[in-house]
This record gives sequence, structure tokens and C-alpha cells, in this order.
Amino acid sequence: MHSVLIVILKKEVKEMLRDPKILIGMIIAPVLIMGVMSGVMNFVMSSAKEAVLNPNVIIVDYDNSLLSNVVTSSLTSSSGGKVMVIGDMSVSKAIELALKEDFFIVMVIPKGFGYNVSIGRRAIVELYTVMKSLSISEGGASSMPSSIIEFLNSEIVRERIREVAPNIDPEVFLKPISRVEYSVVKGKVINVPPQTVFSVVMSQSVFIPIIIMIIFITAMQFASTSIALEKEYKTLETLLTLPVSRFTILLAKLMSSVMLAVLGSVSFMFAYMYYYTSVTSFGLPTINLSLSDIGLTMTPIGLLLTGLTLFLSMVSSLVLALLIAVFAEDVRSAQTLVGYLYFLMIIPMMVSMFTDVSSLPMLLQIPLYLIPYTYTLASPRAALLENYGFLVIGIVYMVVFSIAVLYIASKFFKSEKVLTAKISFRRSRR
Amino acid sequence: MDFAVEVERLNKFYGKFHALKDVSFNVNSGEIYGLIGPNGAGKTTTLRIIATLLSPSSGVVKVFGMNVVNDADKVRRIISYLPEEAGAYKYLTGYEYLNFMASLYVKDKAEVKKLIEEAELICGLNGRLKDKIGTYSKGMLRRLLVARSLMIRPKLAILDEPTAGLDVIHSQYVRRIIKDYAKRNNVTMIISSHNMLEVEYLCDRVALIHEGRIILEGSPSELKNKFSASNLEEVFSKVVKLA
Ligand SMILES: Nc1ncnc2c1ncn2[C@@H]1O[C@H](COP(=O)(O)OP(=O)(O)OP(=O)(O)O)[C@@H](O)[C@H]1O
Ligand SMILES: [Mg+2]
Repeated sequence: MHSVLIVILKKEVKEMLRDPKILIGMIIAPVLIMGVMSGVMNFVMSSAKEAVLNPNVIIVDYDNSLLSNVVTSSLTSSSGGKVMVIGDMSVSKAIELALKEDFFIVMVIPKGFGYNVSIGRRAIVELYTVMKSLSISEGGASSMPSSIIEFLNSEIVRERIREVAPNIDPEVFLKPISRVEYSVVKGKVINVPPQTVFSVVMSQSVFIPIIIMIIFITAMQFASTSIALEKEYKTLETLLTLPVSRFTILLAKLMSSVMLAVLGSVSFMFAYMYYYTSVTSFGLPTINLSLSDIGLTMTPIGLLLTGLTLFLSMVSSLVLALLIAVFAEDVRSAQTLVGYLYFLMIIPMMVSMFTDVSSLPMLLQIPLYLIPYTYTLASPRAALLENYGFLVIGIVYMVVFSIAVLYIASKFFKSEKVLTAKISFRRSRR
Repeated sequence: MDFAVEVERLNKFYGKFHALKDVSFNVNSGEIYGLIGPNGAGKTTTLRIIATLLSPSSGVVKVFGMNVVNDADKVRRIISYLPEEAGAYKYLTGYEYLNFMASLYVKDKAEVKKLIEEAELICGLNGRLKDKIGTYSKGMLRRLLVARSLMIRPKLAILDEPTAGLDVIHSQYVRRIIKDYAKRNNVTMIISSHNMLEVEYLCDRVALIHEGRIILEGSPSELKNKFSASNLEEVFSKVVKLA
């Protein structure tokens, strides 16, 4: 029995590795998608950052007073972008110029600006922001005008304070209260504001489940296809008359699908690591920190339990896919049927994105906890919070679930229903 | 117990459809037994039941004394079944396919090699065995599959339309292989076919199934005499029209 399993497994793996669709779908596509994604992200982020830090500004100075000169020179020296100062040009001409020459902001200092400030009246500065593409990078730069004004305001106030009280640090008047923020995670105080903790956890708990889902979906398609193909290529009948137990055949198919899923996960992991490091490299504040930096580390036990949870949810979904494929007449119906299983993934994913399952009413919790993916999605958080009881329950449940489904599948696989029960989408369409 | 195959009052229902009605026949050891009949008569259903793929609704089927339902695992060790319109794994080479199949029957590497050598002789595909099965023509595939089902030296070979869809040359080749092999190795065979020439050439005895019932049984010459016909084709059309 043991050696027969290996013989069949060898055949399954050979078929799998030689099928270009599988190689592309499982190994190459993830790397490619991640590569493209990270490339696009890189580009967007770097151009956004450039626009934010170095906006090109045209200053139309109608005032030409002492104060307006201070303003233009302090902007010129503090900005990394191009700053063009013009004295005699209409606003519309300046905007035309900005459009043509790729300036982002046109700042107009009206006549009387310096005088108003000197007599204690509020002065006005007009800012025109050129929105050409309405893209993310422009969005990031759209806060630029208000920060220019803030900068000018505080410069002027500082100047005034120095005149009145030359011996006191002007910052004490400007910002009498400053904040130092801490977060308390797992009862420990860490030196990081709560928004940062949240955004680090979120960026990982949104991204990783999506990856998991893509891997699972591909592996499930493979598992169901491997049975459906036996029907479509008319090899199943022969296979079922060989001196091999049907359970062994199913087990071999399950094992090869698990192998594929693991292979896919590894290639995804490498792609993710590449993506992760290339995004961090220009210092996005939210991803710059890792979980361990903010004090969220997994103990070896937590890591082991999370890994086991992941593996077992992979097995449970593949077993489900096999069960479904036993009934499907051909590849297309198998894939359509497996498609319905995605709801089982998407529902807990949606829920866990917005809330914690345990905070839902009991009536909603029960069906959710019957879906293996609920444990998959909750496991990293549970491991971080050292909620090992939950992980163990999930693991036990998924073992029971997988064995039960495999048992049912092999029951059907043993009966003649595997040859006569047909769920076809061609027939029902007429 | 003396029979290779015993079929006794076999009935098969597909849902409400009564596909086999009290079918009974015996096949002697070493005999080539033919099943003929119009499309949808129940030939494939009968063969699938003998091959342990379908279970009888009622009746008993035994292969060398072993019940196909209760002793299915034992039966599978001594039979080989060639389904009609069967395929093979297109990403494997012919050689790998034979190796896979042989390894399920014997453990020893040398024995596996012997079986493959036998298959090479039977299929006559020579160098093409190194190519992926996906590149084979229908005739080549059928030859490979026939070789697969005979190389393991089954005690009973069940061949469902072994030459269906093949050209004259390929059909003759496959037919000759089957006959030679059966004689050489004293293998019992059940064959279904629509080609009366083939049945006359191969079979020691023939049963004619019509609408799920056996309506005629005997050796080709007996049947021809009985209906004073010059060939089985005439017998076939006379009987089916009568029924
Ligand atoms: N899975 C099934 N479900 C329902 N009916 C079936 C099924 N398989 C076969 N039948 C029906 O049973 C009858 C016998 O079919 P079978 O395939 O045994 O005929 P056959 O003699 O092999 O025909 P052919 O010469 O065309 O191969 C047919 O009427 C067929 O429609
Ligand atoms: Mg048939």
C-alpha cells in the first residue's frame, strides 16, 4: 500500500510539474504579480514623495515689501523644488506658465501684504494648486499650500515673539503643550503611538490573507482539476480498476495538491519579502516598522501553532475541493463548483477585516467558526496575543473537519457514483 | 468454479431505467467471449460490472469464483479493463505510462522492466514511446492502451470495443495482437465490438445483447448455421429486426 501510494504520487507530481498552466499559475504568476505590484508601488510612492517634498512654486509678488521678500527668500531656501519669483505678471499668465512648465503651486502675494501685517491686520496670500492628473501623488501634495501658510504664519509669529521677548524660546508660546505617545500591547508599554501599531498590524493582516486566499484558490483549482481531468481524459475508469485502493488514489491527489500549495506559498513568500523590503526602502512610515519593532513578537509555540493552522486550513480546503470534484463531470464544472467555495473564504475575511469574530452575536459566531478559514484568518492575531487555546481548538477542529470530509469523499469515490453522478453545467443549460 | 466468468440473472438500473434484464452467461477459462449488440444495448454496462466499476442492482457476477462486489479488491488484481474511448495521461511519455501501470502490479524493478518489454512488443510503438502521450494519434494511443492492459498478464482481460475509431491497418494490427496474446498466454477475454468481422475472427463464442437482454448465444459458426447466414452481420440484422 505504501509503495503504491508513492507510485501514484510520483505520477501526480510528474503531471503537475509538466503542466505549464500549473507552473505559470502557481509559481511564476505570484512572483510576477508581486513584482509588478511592488514596481508600481515603488514608482507611485517615489513620485508622490518627490511632489510632496519638492513642489515647484511660482511666486507672483505684487507687494515687493520687506516682509514679502522675507517670505520668498525663506521659501526659496527651504524648498527642494524649483521656486520662481516674478514681480509683474497677471495671475492667469502665471497659471498658464505653471501648466506649461510643470509648476505645482502659484502663490500670489497681493499689494499691501507687508503693510497689513505691520499694522496688525490679517494679510492674505492666494495659492493656486495645479491639479493635472488628480493622481495619488497630487493628492499627497495637495496639503502643500496649507503647510506653506502654516510655515509662513509661524515664521512671522516667531519674529514677533523675538521682538517682544528676546530671552524666551518662541516655541514655548507657539506650542505650550507637546505630546509623548505610548501604546499598551499585551500589557506592555511600548514607545510607539497607537496609530502606528494599528497600521502595522492592519497592513499585515490585510495583505497576508489576500495572499493566502490566492494560494488556496489556485491549489483548490488544481486539486479539483486533477480529478476532473481523469474524467475528462477518460483515465478514471482505468484507474479505478487497478489494484489500488480508492482511498490511496484520493490521498495521492491530496498530497500532490498540498505539495503544490506549499510550493506556491514558498514562491509567494519570497515575492512578498522582496515586495516588503522594496517598499520599506523608501521609508513609508506605516510599513517601516515590523511587528517585532512594536513589541509584537510570536513565541516559537505561537509560530508553530500558526504554521500548523495555516497548513491544516490548506488541507481542509483541498479536501473540500476533492470532494466537490468527485461529483463534477468535467474540468469546467469542477472549477465552477470550487468557485462556490470561495464564499467560504471571503465571508470570514470580510468579517475579520472589520471586526473580531468573538465580538459578534452568538448566532453569527457559530456558522463562522464552522468555516476553517475563520481560524486561518484569526490565527496570526491570536498567536501575537498568546491566545493559544483558540489556536489549539482551531487545529483540532480542522483535523476533524479534514478527516471527515476525506472520509465522505472516499466513500463517494468508492461507490459507483463517481462514474454515474454527474454535475454538469452544459446539460443544465440545455 | 470451473468458469472464468459467471454472470447470473444480472440486473442493472440507472435510476428508473432498466439497462440490464436478467442477463446470464458463462465464460470458459481461456476463451475469447464476444458481446455484440446495437448501440445502447447494455454491453458497456455489463463489462463495467464485471470490471468492478458498477455494482449490480441484482444478480451475481463472479470472476474466477470471486464475487465482483464483495471481493472487488481481489478481482482487480487479476483483471484488466480497457474502457471504450479510454485516454491516457498526456504529460507522461508512453514509456512512463507503462512504467506507472506496471509498478502498480509488481514491486521488483526487474519485473517491472520485464512487463514494459512485453508491452513494447505488443504496442510496436518503438521510439515513439519516448514521446509524450499528448502527441500520439488515436491509433497509437489505442495500441498503447491495449499493451497496457495485456502486459500485466491478467487472468481476465475485458476489452470494450478495442478497435473502435481505428483505421483498417491499425484495427488489423490490434486484432492480431489480441489473438496472438490470448493464444500464447491462455488469457480469458471478454470483448465487445460493433465489427462483426472482428468478432468472427477473434471470438470463440458470442452473445447478442438487445435492449438489456441476451437474445442469442453460440459460436460464430453455430449462429451462422442456425440463421443460414454467410456472416455474423447477417445474423445480427436478422435477429435485431425480429426482436
Ligand atoms: N450513467 C448512466 N446513467 C444513465 N443511463 C445510462 C448510464 N450509462 C448507460 N446508460 C444507459 O444504459 C443503456 C446501456 O448503455 P451501454 O453503455 O451499456 O450500451 P452499449 O451497449 O455499450 O452501447 P454502445 O454500443 O453505444 O457503446 C443505454 O440506454 C444508456 O443510455
Ligand atoms: Mg459501449
